[in-house]
Amino acid sequence: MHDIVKDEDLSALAAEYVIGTLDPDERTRANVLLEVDEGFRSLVRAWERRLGELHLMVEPVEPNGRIWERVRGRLGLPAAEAPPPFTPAPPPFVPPPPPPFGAPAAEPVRAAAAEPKFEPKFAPSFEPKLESSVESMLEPKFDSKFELPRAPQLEPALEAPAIEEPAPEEPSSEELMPEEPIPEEPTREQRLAALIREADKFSQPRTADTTTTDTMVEPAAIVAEPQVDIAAGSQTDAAPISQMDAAAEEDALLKEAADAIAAKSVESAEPPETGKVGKPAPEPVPTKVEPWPTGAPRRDTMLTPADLARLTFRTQERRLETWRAAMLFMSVVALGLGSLIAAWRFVPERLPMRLQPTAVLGLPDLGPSERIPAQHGTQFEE
Amino acid sequence: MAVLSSVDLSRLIVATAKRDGGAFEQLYAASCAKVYGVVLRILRRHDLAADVMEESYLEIWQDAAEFNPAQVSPMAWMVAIARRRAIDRARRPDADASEAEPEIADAESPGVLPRREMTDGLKRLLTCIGRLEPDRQRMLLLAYYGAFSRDQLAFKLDTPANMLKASLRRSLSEIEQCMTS
Repeated sequence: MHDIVKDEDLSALAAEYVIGTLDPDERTRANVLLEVDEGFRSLVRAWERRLGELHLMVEPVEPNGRIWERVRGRLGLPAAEAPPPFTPAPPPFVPPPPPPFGAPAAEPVRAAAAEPKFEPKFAPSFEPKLESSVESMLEPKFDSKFELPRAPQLEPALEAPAIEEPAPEEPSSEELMPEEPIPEEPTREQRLAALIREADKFSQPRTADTTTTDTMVEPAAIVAEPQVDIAAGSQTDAAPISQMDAAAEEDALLKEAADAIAAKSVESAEPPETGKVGKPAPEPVPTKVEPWPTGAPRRDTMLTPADLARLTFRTQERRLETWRAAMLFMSVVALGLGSLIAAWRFVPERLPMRLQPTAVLGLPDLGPSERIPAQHGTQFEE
Repeated sequence: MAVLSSVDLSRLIVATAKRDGGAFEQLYAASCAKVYGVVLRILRRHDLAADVMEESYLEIWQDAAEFNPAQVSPMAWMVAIARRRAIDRARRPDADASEAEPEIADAESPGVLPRREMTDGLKRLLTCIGRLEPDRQRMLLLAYYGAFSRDQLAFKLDTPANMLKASLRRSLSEIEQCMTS
């Protein structure tokens, strides 16, 4: 926490800079700031550290070999034909003598990835095409179901891109990695993959799910309820068996994670709530992930009862809101009228001309002038 | 792509700082696919991504001496450099045109987490992200992986831009607290 508003702003700016959401102008300014302001620079570095590990979830793509040629050319490096094979210290496997870009490792992953599973992701980028949105609503569902069986395909490749351990404790984490029970990993992997895919899918025009805006805007309290519904509902929807397996494996993995992260406790029961309520550290990860793969079916919103419930909830709430506003308005009007009438009755002389009954009701001036003399007018009676 | 551990990569970066071209080449070979995946995911065009790769590795070569393995993992360090440049590139006005026709149908740029890459740092980060509400989690991940500007993100999420900004900043500050606690 920062005490000074400006610090907070700066930190937020750094965070947004790193995550990449600044608009072009802001980014230009931030780039300048980055050069001149040491404090800002260290904030940016801190955020890069914080968010940096997210890159692990991005799949490698082998670049064109000419890129290296260009880099080499610009640096004036000699074209080293066969650089001395590098022997990694505690390697998961021994790397081949690095031919600049032969990438045996990444291939399988890409092959797997090239399947329709990822297509919906960016396809519709900004144009809200109907077809693509429909696709997106359907395909991810099947993906998520077929995901688990597909996991083994990924494995060979998965070995390969391994590497990233947090710098401080490399040796230990390296030892840890291979030890991790194999069956567990695909699960987490799947979930994270689903999580990213979900994030991408989210980018697609969601014709059905009107709740997006609301959930973004409204405070947690409101959001919490429907989410629970969804988690519950979708769990019933989505392939139950794999789900169960996943849950079981998750538990085991959580325990490991708990050791590793030195976290508190492990309960894997209610996903969203535990995440919100707070403490258990390793847990929210999977708990968060959990609803998502299952959240994929959410894309076919119409089908899920939970979703219907949620939608109804939203709609009703919006309707309620309208009523509330109307009620408030009517009350104000009634109050105003009431007080005006009361004023006419009790303190007519204090009202400005414009609020006199004659003016308001458009009566001819005769009315009061008749009355007043009439009251005075005992003469009239006489 | 050769697969090297963080230690090896760190060593290569240190060697690169000493202007060891061979080490740099190995570093490139070991890291380029990962970096390219990140860059391509943001730019979605091979030509732009190639430019950014070139610039990024030049910067990595130049700044190798600034790399501090105690602070950040080597891949995260390199990716941060490439990401920064990719986003800069994506925000350049002329890059906007590319959005209409992404060269990549994105069959290639997804993110399945390769096994064994689940590091403690990532676990921790995901734990913190996991504490956010699901919609905000998505917002955040979408923002990170796609590197969309706020306006783009607001459009995608169908949220008013100012709301999105507030929500985003709140999420980020919660993550910051979570990570530092």
